[in-house]
Amino acid sequence: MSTALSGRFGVLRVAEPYLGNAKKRVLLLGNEAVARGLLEAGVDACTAYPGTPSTEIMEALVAAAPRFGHYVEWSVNEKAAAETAIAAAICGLRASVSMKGVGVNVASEPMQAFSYMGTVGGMVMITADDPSMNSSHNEQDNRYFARECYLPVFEPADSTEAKDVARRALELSERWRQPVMLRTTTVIGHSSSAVTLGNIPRRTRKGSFPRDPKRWTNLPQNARRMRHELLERFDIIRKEVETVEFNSATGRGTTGFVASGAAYPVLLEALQEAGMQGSVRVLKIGTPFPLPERMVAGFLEKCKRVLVVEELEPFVEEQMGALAHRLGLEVTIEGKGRIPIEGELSVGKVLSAIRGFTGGAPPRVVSRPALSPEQMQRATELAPPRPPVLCAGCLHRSAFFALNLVEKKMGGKRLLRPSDIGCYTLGYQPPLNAVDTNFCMGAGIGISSGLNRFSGDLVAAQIGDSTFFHAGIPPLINAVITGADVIVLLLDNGTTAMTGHQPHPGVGRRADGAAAERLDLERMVRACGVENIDTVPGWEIGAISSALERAAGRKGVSVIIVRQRCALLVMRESRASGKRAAPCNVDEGRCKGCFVCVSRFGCPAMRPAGKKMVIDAEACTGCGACLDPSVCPEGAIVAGKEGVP
Amino acid sequence: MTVTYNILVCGVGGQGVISAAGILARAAIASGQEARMYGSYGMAQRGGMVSAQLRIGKRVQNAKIEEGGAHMLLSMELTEALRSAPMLSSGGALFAADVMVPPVGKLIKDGGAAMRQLLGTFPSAVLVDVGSLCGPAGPRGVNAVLLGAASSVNGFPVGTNALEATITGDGTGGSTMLVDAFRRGREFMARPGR
Repeated sequence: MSTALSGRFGVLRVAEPYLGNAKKRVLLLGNEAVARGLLEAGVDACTAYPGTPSTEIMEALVAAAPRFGHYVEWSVNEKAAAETAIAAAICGLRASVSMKGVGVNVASEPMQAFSYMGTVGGMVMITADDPSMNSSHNEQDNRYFARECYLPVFEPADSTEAKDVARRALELSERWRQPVMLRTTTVIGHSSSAVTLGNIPRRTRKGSFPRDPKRWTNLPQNARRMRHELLERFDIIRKEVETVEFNSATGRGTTGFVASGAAYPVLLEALQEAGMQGSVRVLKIGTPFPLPERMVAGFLEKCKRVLVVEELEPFVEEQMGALAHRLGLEVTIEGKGRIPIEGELSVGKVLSAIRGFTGGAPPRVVSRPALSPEQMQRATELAPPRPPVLCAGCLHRSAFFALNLVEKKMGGKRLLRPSDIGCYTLGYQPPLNAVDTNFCMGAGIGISSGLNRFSGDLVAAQIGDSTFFHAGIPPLINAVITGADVIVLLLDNGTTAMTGHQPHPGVGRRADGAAAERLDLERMVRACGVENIDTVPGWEIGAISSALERAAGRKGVSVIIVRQRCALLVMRESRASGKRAAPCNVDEGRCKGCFVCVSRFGCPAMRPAGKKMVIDAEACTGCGACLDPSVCPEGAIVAGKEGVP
Repeated sequence: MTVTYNILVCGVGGQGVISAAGILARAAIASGQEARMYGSYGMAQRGGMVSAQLRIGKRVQNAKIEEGGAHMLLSMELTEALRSAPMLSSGGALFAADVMVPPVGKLIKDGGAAMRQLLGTFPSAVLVDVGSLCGPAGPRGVNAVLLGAASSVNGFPVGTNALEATITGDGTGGSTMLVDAFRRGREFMARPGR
């Protein structure tokens, strides 16, 4: 699932430091540093689909747009984002497209095609990979995609270097006439450090497209030529990558360590802790593809044994092994046998790998906890878990609660609930437990029609509005034309909530704030061939339940649009205007303390206080969903004075 | 040899965890040091926990703190203080605001008495009665009070003047109240017999 909120919602507000003047030294988030680097390279067009841990790159570029005039676009999905950026690049402009690691799968096809053709203006595809899966569903290592797609890869080692790497990546892409990949990982994008700002040039390029069908039409007769030209371009890139300043070899001796990306500072610190810095060789790889082969070969020739320290897959290790074999070098190269393939690296993990590799004395202990094992145990027992929950006033809770009610009434028949990517994936958590499957953007509907066919169960998919526009439309059409009996709960909160409220095609606003065509979900769904469409308010559990029951009795595809504005936006707007809906109250005389509300509905504004439930007036949005008798069998929850919205 | 001072700041969404860590990082940079800060805050607005790892020194390589590697733990909330306490290094200092934000739907039956008692057994743990120290800033001053208290510790890597200047520079109108809260945090630590 995708998450990102920037720190500016904190108690103290900070002016955007990435817009500062040249030579200033400021604290920048790695993602902001990437954005600044693109600006310093004079980027002309920036596109993205939001996704953690990449979102802040585009948010910074959007914030910078009024001042520097570059084009910004929150696209409908990563494929469309890549295509807009490609179009800018073939018009001779400098372009970037940014996305979370799994977004690369969506952007894959246009990038594969574009790579063969090569570019005119610089074009960088930024992927924010997520080792440890802090906010993603896999540990996909996109360096492999880049190699398969012939995109040279740049990997910054930390948030400080990220700015210069982004700037150079864009410049070198243009010099090489080849799109490139900038790969960050979560610890780089989401950590901050001091960055010295450089100059942002005045943009002078004008987009133009000289007609040249042979160059831009990849029919087989042209594509065969393109592939040959791509390989020729790559021969030059392999030579030039030797001089890229983000690759370097230091140290002495016959024991070598190699690190790329975020593994590099971890390695340096581990070597320091082990007291080995200075007595070994260290090769820093900033371009893991193509490797600077001459530099690597020179390094390997001087070493007897080498340990490759990299996160996730043995990408650099395998290339180095192949190179050593090709050159007939007598050097032992180790890596994933000692360095974990899962998760982010830590100094502790690398230290123990070094210990095994050198067979030397155990290095000094990095740290010693203050707490005794008993105190740690007791602390864990006393601190209850704090999983993320759906917000107070969130429409998703009502939809899931209604799903649970309806399944209960179905007399033992099952109602399967495939979900999708967004806040509503949190419906998986107790007390709602309303998610049976989750795969990828848009898959909820596709999996649903298949499940209905092959398991025979009735299926109700959940999908949010932004995800529906992103990837839900083709599987909806597929469900219609294959005659699946499927219910789709289209959860329309009017924004892309999980990643921080970026606009989508149903919002009617573009990235730069300008008014845009606002696509109507009902008309979209009808155009996909769906006849049965119900639109119900998110706070009316009864209406959602009846719509579900009606749909459950029908053949074919039914879409229920559950509509209620994202509660975070409702609260933000009401704070700004000073007008807010009155919070709900508990009639203490009627509350019997059964806690059905807390244990089945679970709105975070509700909490047990002794033997009664109370509603936190600060947290309650006054949405009124909990007034439904199924939430409180005693009818103890009452609307605030001004009634419900 | 790298000498870094590692601070873990934690709490729940809306308590100013990231802001406090940001103030420390900017004040450190303004006083000529290096700082790396790694925030984990994606769930801030969905009732989740928030934490920021901060490393300050002449040269800081890696952004992350190892388990048992934090020289200081600053928690805006009791439950989170306990959850993060295993990160505290031997000889480290722990400051916890005496504030309870129970996880959604959870009732802390004894009102946190057992947590406070356990915290009392940790070496150099200080429970800060922020309620009386925030002053006019109210709950918005919790992070400033804790920063003030923390800055009184021997060997704290950022100077008081740099911190006050950063708080003043950051504020949007309320900065005087926050500097006052910061000073009350320092006074709290200076109280005899505390």
